[in-house]
Amino acid sequence: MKDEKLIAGIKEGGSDLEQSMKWLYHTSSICLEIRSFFNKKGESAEDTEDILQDAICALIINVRQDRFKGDSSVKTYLFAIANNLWVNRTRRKIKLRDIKGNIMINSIDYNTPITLLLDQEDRQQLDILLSKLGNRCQEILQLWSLNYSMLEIAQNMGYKSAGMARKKKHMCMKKLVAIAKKII
Amino acid sequence: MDTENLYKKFEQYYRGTMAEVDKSNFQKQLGENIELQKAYESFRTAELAIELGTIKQLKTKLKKKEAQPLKSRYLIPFRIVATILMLIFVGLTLYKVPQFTNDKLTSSRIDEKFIERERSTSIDNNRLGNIQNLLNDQRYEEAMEALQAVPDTVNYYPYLLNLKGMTALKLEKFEIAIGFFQTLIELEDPRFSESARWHQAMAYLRNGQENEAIQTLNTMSNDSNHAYIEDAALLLKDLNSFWRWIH
Repeated sequence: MKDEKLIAGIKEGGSDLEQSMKWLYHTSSICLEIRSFFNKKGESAEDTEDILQDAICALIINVRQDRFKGDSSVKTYLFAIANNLWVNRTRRKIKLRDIKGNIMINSIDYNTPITLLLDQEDRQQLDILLSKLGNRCQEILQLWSLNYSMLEIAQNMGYKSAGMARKKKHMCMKKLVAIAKKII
Repeated sequence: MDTENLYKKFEQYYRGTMAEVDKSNFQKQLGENIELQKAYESFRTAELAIELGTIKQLKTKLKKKEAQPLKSRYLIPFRIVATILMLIFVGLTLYKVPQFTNDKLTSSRIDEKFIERERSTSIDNNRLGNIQNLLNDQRYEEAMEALQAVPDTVNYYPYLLNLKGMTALKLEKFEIAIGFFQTLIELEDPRFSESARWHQAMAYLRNGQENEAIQTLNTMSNDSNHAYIEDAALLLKDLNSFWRWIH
């Protein structure tokens, strides 16, 4: 599958997105090369798969949020994200700290979602935060995070109109922010 | 600023889609306004949580696909084997099923030598000789006409009935053949009654009267002295064959 078709599938969403994911992860030579690359670096098969899955998720989010401009090939882009994730994991293992004693996160760039760079503890906190929201709200907000339009969200969620979806989304976001405020 | 517009701004800033000029202004505002800063931090935390949830969802879908290659690894050879087996079955069906039609089951079981065997017992050589010649020449219509012309009072009446029944079979007039054989069975002539019952079963089958045929064959196979006991048993087995069920 060519890059254009892959990107188009991700942007289309729904079953096209799932098809593109399936092809990328299971069939493409890109992932085979990435696996080979990390295996040579001494990473276990399990960790390699984890990195690869995270990298693909990052690619999808970036494509959906229009951060991926197509300046580089999908292969190069995916490799860069995967490498960034791997470096961050390696540093996390060593627990690098700066002068003030804060744990260092590798260079934050908009290519790699921050959540993928956070350690397990921070992720768990965010998990708990999200779990306080109902399933419907979680679903709406996740569709929004993947840049689905309000009309698409309305169709997915069974709302009458895009306007209704917008109201619901805002309501859910307000709820989540209020919960987050209590935690911080 | 209402919450919706505020969140919109936060989102633009968080996702890096804000114009540079607006970005520096906003950063300045964040630095000067603690409440705004706190609000943004809460929003950012919420966005991180949503992003994490989204990633988890995507990974779940990706992992589901991960399970599939294991199945598909076996699915392709399974499909090939299944196709081959299906083709073999279809081939067998096309070959076997025609062999188990009523026509096929009976055609090789009708006593073709009925004319020759009884020739020596006939006493009306002139009339029967002519009929037998017609039968030998397979001129069954004419033979039947000639047979019908022979009165029933002749002393070789059972033989006559047998000839009529067999000729009717040849002419595929199965109901008529059934009638002749039935009369012959009722005569209880030991020379013909067993053969009559057997050929009556053939006529029933060819006439589509399977239940009657099976009943007749069962009567024969339950009679240990019956001349056609083994033939009846074999035919019953074929009638119960899987290939007939498919047909």
